[in-house]
Amino acid sequence: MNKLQHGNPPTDSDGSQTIVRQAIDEAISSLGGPIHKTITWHMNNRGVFADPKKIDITFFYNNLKELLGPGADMIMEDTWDHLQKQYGVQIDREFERKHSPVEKIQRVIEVGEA
Amino acid sequence: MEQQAYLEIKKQRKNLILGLIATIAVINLVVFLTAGSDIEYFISDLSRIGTIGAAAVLSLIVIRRQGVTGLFGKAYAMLAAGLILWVIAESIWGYYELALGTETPFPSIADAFWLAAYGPIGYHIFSTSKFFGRGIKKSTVIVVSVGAVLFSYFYLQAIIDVSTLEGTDALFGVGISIAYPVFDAIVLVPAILMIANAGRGQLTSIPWIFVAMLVLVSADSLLGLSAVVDFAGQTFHITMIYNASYLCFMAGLLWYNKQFIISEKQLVK
Repeated sequence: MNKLQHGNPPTDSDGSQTIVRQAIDEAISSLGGPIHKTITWHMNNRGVFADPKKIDITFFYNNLKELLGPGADMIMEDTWDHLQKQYGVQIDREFERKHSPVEKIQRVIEVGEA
Repeated sequence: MEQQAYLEIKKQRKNLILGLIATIAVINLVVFLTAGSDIEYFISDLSRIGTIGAAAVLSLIVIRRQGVTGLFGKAYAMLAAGLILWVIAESIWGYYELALGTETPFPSIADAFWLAAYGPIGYHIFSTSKFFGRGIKKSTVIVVSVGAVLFSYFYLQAIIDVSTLEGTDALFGVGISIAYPVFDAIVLVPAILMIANAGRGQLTSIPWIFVAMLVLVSADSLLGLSAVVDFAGQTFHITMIYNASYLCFMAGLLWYNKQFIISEKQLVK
């Protein structure tokens, strides 16, 4: 079962990008409204959210890490949790066990694009 | 533009550090110079009430701007609650010494507020540790935890050994003295771990509140010892450490207020 499996969401590129963007947004929002605005403002300044329909997850993570240090990892873990619990995203268990949240989210995007 | 923003953050951090050092130096110099004089208690009490009061006011400003939702909203609301309890405790302490002109009894009602604050402060420390503590190795957690347990053990031993309190309140007094290092040890573990894990992130490189807690624990440890020996020695040096801790809380809140809650004006820039 190497293919990404969704409970319901779309499996095309735009669909996977959209749910990843939503999951990121929810993860950052869970920190609090004003912080959400602050992080989004910094990411916009860095051009991370330049394309509203696409996101380079590694670029996003690197910028987030530069801004928030270890807090970036928490946001990525929360994003992955949201993808699984709210959007029903599943990937190969072996892959899930061995890889970081960033790699898993990247995998979701790649499978959606395939 | 991003490089410019980073340089601005760096400059503001440097200014905050320099400002903090200067403020600690000035306030503590006054405390030091008046030690042993007639106004020692007045200055000591006033400096502690003033510094913790300023931190508490700032925490209320943060709550007003941020609200109380989300991980940080709740954490900072709890921090505000804890700081307000400490303002009350310090004020009671000051009331005994300045208004009643007597030495603060030990234990006193102030201790109840002091100890009660560990609940909300602990909530803040542990909940924000989820954010600041990513990537800490389990082995480090174990080493620091064992260190904190050993610190508590030897500290408690010292308290029991040097205890000179007598009478019916003696046991209660020692019990209160023991509660401080136990609670301190509980918050000391995440404080040390977060400081050890610091240095990364433009906004997060200095975990101010954890630094403040670490300084506070050292002040508490000295105060606990001096309390059970009936306040025999001078305590101005302990006041200086408390002032440093309260001012670190203040610096952390200033940083958070400025960097984590960007103003609407800046957002539209």
